[in-house]
Formats: sequence, structure tokens, C-alpha cells
Amino acid sequence: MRIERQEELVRRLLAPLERVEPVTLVSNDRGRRRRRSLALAVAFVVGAGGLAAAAVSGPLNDIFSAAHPRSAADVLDPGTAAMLRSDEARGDAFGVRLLGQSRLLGTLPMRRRVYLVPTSKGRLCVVVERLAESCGDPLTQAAPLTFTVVDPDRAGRGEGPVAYGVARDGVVSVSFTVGGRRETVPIHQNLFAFQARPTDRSFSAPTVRFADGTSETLR
Amino acid sequence: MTVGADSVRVRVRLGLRGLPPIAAGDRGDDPPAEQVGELFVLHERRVGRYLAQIVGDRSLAEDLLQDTFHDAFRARAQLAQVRNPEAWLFGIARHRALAALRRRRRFHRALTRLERGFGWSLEEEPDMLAVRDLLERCVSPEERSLLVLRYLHGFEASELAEMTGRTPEAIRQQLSRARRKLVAAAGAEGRLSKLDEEAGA
Repeated sequence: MRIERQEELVRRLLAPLERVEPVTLVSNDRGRRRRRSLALAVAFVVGAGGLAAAAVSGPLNDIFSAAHPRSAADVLDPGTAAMLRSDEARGDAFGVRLLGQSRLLGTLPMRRRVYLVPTSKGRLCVVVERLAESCGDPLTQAAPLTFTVVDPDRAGRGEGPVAYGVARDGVVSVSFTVGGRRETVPIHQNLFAFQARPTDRSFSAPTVRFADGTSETLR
Repeated sequence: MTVGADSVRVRVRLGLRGLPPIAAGDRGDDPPAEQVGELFVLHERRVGRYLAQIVGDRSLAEDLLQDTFHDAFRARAQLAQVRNPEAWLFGIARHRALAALRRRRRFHRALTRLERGFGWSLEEEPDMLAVRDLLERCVSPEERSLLVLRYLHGFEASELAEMTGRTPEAIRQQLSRARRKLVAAAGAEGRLSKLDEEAGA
């Protein structure tokens, strides 16, 4: 049989497989996925997590900016999704990042988007598009704020460290001491950020102020 | 309060005091990350289809797609030396798929000792299932992968050679063997005459 005829037959034999629907990178949000143990880049959630094991959607509760039906805008871009999977491979205890439940929280001045991503173990990850993620227990009344500080240039060099995080509904501002100064940063759409000076080395425990006027220092 | 930072990934650029948030950074010192991201956007569906075609099981294919992108992301430094990024990405997917098929084959053998029958988990139309069944019985996973990449995704032998690390000539020979096996099996089962009938109709 001539090669051309053979190739034509093979193409026709295989043709039904052309109708196979592709799988996609972000379609899998099942908790049953096999997955390497997970890792975390940087960060922590301030305060003790007093919440018992949460349901999958639980970590996004009480964050109004994330309380909307999932739309195309909430889908992580493939690069960010790959970044999270890469972090997972380093091994951590937070569970599989449920990419199919991500929610866009806001867009940064540098046009980086901030997402919230729950995990299969009921944890909450704050993801900065193609930059970083920080994971921890879900927000509660006792621990209503994530507080992450990054300083890639190391203290005293380059630009100063940056603090950022996500607050639960009802938190209106966060205060802390850095470099001997007391700073207060308002919460906008459940999100805050603060750029410290290059010489600033450490932040005090933050104090959150609630809409009812009360405040609480987180340990 | 301690602070963690990943000095590789995080590069803080800006900062406004207070709001609007947020201090952000980029991967300015890691341009391949952006390139891999763009590659994903361009080829995600094709790679996703290829994996679903090869392994048949959608949940496994989804896992493999995640793994593929994960591997690609980790190997992104190679991109600077890659002539055909698309073939590079498919090569990673192929490697993942074949490893999964080998694992499944071992599992399948163990299972068939216990009971007959281990069907595809996809809910597919009969003609798709028939093709998968034929491929599984007649050609090796390696050959199946090459046939799908060549005849459903249009990769040339030279591109397949890049993916597999073999010579184009070796790929042509392997494709030739796979074609012969597939056509012979299809002929023995009366499928070729059916194809001709369909073509005639």
C-alpha cells in the first residue's frame, strides 16, 4: 500500500478523536485530585486561626469583594496558575489550591491583579498575579486580616519592604509601627498595602479597627 | 513579627504609602516566566485536547495538563534555547502522558487479572471509543502519541524529533510501523471497508 493511501486511512481512522473536547488548565477544582504536597512562597495570616475545618467555599466567606458569582475576570491566567502549581510542588500543608474557585479582589497600581484562592483544606491564599502567594487560615473575627510583608532587596537595600493583605468585612483600617513610626492604612475593598522605607526592618503586630469603632491588636 | 520573602519570585517595585493598594512587583528578572505564560495562553486548548485524546480519561488529562504547565514553568529557562516553543510544550505533555499511560498499563494488567473489562472513563460516542480501543490494542502508547501528534495535530517528523530527542528519520520509521499496524488491524476488523463505504456515501 502506498504511503499516501496509508496516511489517508490513518487520518480517517483517527478522525473521530478530533471531536474530543480539550481539558483546560483552570477547569479542575475537584478536591479529589492527586497532587504533590504543597508549598508556600511567603507569608502568613496574622493571629491564631480559631476556625474549625471550613468548607471549600468557606475561606471566602465574609469578604464582600469576593462574594460574587464567578466570572471570566476571576479566572487566573495560566502563568499565575502555573506559578501556584509550582509553589505547591515545594510541599506545604495548605492543600490543593482550588483554582476553579478563585475570585478577583482588585487590581494593583502596577496592574497586577490580586486574587483570593481557597484550598482543599479550607485555607485561604492571597495571590498577587505572577508575583507571589500567601496562604493561611481563613479570616475570622479573632483573626480578621492577612498581613504579609515582602522585602526582596533585603533590609536596608533597594526599596523598602511592602506590607499588604486582605481584611474581613467590617475592618476599616490597620495600624502598625514600623521604623519607630505609627502608621495607619485604610482598607479599601477588603485590601490594603503599605510601602515602608528601605531602612525599615520590622513591623509591629498590626491593630485593626472595626466599623463599630472598636479595635484589636492581633498577635 | 517575622516576615518572609521569596527573593527569587517577589520583586517589589512600587509603593505608594497607604492606598490605593497595593505594592506590587514583577518578574523583571525572570522574563521566561512571561514567555511561558503566553505560551500557555496560546496552546492550552490544543495541549488539553491532545492529552484528552491520548489518555482518554478527562480527570487524568486535566491532571496531566496541570503537570505539563507546572513542568514547563519550572523548565522555563530552557526556552531561550528552544527553536519551536510549541513543540517544546507538546513534548513535555507527551512525556507526562506516556508516563501516565505506562502507570495505567501496569494497573490495567493487575486489574484484568481480577476481572475483565476496564473501559475508558470518558463518556464518548461509539466511534470515538472504537478508535481508542483500536489504538490501545494495536499500537504502543509511544506510537499512539506519535500518530495523534502527526495526524491530528499536524506536527512534522522534524518537530516530533525535537519533542522526542530522536532523529527525524527514526520518527518516520516509527510512524511508518505504527501506520502499518493500525491499518492492518483496521483491515482485519473490516473497518477499512466501512470507511470506504462512508467515503462513498
